[in-house]
Amino acid sequence: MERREALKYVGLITGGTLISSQLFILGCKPNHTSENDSPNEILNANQIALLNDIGEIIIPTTDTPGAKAANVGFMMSVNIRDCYGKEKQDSFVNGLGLLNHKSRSFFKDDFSNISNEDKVSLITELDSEVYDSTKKNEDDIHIFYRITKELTLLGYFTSEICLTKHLEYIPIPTKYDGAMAYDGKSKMKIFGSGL
Amino acid sequence: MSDLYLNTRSKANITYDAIVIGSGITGGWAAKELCEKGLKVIMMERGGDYKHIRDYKSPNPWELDHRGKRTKDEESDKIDITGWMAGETISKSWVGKEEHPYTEEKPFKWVRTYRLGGRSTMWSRQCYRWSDLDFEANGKEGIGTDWPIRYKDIAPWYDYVELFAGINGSIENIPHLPDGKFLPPMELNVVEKAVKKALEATYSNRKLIIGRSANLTAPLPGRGSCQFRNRCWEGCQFGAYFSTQSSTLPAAVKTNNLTISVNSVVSRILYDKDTLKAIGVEIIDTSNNQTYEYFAKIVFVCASALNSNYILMNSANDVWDNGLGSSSGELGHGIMDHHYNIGANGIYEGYEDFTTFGERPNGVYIPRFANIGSDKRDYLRGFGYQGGASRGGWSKGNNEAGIGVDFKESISKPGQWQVGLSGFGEVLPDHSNRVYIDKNKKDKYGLPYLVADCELKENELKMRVDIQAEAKEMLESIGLKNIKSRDNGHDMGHGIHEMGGARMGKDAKTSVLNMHNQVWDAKNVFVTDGACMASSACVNPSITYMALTARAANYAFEQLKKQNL
Repeated sequence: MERREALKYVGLITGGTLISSQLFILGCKPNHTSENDSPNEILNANQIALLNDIGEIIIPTTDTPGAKAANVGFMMSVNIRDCYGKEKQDSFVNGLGLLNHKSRSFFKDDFSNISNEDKVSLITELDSEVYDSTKKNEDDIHIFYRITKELTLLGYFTSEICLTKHLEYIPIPTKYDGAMAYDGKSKMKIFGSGL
Repeated sequence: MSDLYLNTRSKANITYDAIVIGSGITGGWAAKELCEKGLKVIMMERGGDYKHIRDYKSPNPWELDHRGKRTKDEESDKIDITGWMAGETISKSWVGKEEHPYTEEKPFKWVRTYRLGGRSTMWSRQCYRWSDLDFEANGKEGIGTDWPIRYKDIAPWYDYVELFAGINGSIENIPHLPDGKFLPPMELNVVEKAVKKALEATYSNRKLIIGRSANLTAPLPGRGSCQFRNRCWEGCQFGAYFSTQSSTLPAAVKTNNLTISVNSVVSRILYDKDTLKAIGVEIIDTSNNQTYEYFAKIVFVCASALNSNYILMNSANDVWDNGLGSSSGELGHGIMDHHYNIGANGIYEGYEDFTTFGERPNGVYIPRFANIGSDKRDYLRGFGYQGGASRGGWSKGNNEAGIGVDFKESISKPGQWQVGLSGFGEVLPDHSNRVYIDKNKKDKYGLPYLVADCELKENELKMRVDIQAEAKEMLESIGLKNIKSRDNGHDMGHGIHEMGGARMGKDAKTSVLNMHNQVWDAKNVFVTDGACMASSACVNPSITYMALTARAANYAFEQLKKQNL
């Protein structure tokens, strides 16, 4: 849909005042890493694929796409490389390996190859350890998982897939309503920057 | 017809009626006012250009490599910024300590935007008037020196700048937070209304109001209304908040009297000791590191507080060791800020059948109640709170166990209502809080380093304990759950409201500027940014700087007309 058309459409739907006569440019796409770029020096293609599989367990496909369709693994590889210090990176990579090792110990195969049920059981166990303050949870596998969960959520909920197929993204709300009725079951809408 | 931008340095274009140093909140106003009076004005901006709309970017979140997160690359580290300032889309808006070094004798967070418009494109747009409670405080309490003006002197100028800039707000009749010439107020949401009702019932002398912000809730000529994206710092393509780019610059440009000189660091004001007047400025062109001189009848120093101090300190050193305006011994002293990073938040149970639509670039405000009327504390002055209520988003999933279908569904729904309050406190003018120049250390332009020697003192530290306690108690009183209060500490400067050093006063022996923002030692030099402040109050200062600038510019013009300058 042409940008101006889209904006007029938004204005009608939301009932707010929409500036139509101003010439404005909502911003060009900044240069950003293509998703077809090769993986980086911290995480290789196999590790990225593994992260997508783990992400898919945390945020699965339902009636809307899940983390794998949003390629959270790739987003995570960029984020780990650029936003985390060496110590955290090392713990992360080590922890990822430890998870796979656990998979081979318990379920006789790499994480990506085991059944969904077995994947769920491994991640559930790790997840409940990490969020239980009574448990010992400062090993590399826990550090890795905490980061993975956080980045899976960030990677998914800021993805184009999520914001076009799962949640409604309204970059230009045109108005603020502080008392919008909520039915208790609908999904949230995302506004503005989407961050 | 001359170009808007000064493209060549030649002898043909060095003389103007007025030089304005800086293009930020106050520089833009000075340029607009003086240009509209018919003066030929050259505006010196130390950074590069930053064009309205054309240079703004509003990327979709998936178009950001790091989805908004700060990278650890060298550039980010040099900037020494944290929190919201470090977000991916705006981290490049600040300059770093490596490229623009200064010395911290005590920790000082100096947050700077060096490009056209300065921090007027990055400010949080909250606007509150001062009252005589603030103007009279120094004199009554024997702190610093008395302001040479009172509310009645500035009130008409608050009217003037508010009407032009476009400030939204509600009429509240609070004596110490005077109402302004407002556009329609933004809306409190359902929980904020409930919190307001509960707080005002419990505390008879406290109010919770919608914030007053420089976002348009009705269009102004050439500018559109706020679209509730809350992306102001990225630049507003609708021109919906006040900045040099959206507001004062177009007005100045329209007069055909403005020349803009970018990449122009003013190193000193040129002073003629025979006529006791400034004759112009010396600049360093950062594109070629050459020095140039420009001449004018009046100079407006609007370089942002510490830089304005710096320029004065670096000027007329052949007459005064410590610079132009230093004869009282006060220049560079009495540096202030607003201290914050302190408050409380909690969960509001209820109103699950309501949520919000849109992102409001404004919050709630609890005006100062400390040390007003019969309220007496063990410290002087007071503080206000900003904050608001909102429903949690998907990121709550980071803090709880859960995976899979149910988890995905649960975090895709609006979360619980959270209420937060963040305090901003007044800092007293203390002579020992100072900036000065270190002539032994030179930067890449050959200019001496600025040294910051400032810290929070006893009054501020006592106040902080109270800010945190009061926030917690207020949230407890309305029955919030899971209340957490915090004091994350505060280095001077972190409020990004650094001010003082060239205070206005009644007496040339104890101040730097007179009641018209004129430097006592050079009547054709006006300082109207944060440097001019004799005290800090606890409210966001930019609207006060705008009013002082418009007032001073109009006075300067009248004086020029009468040939008094």
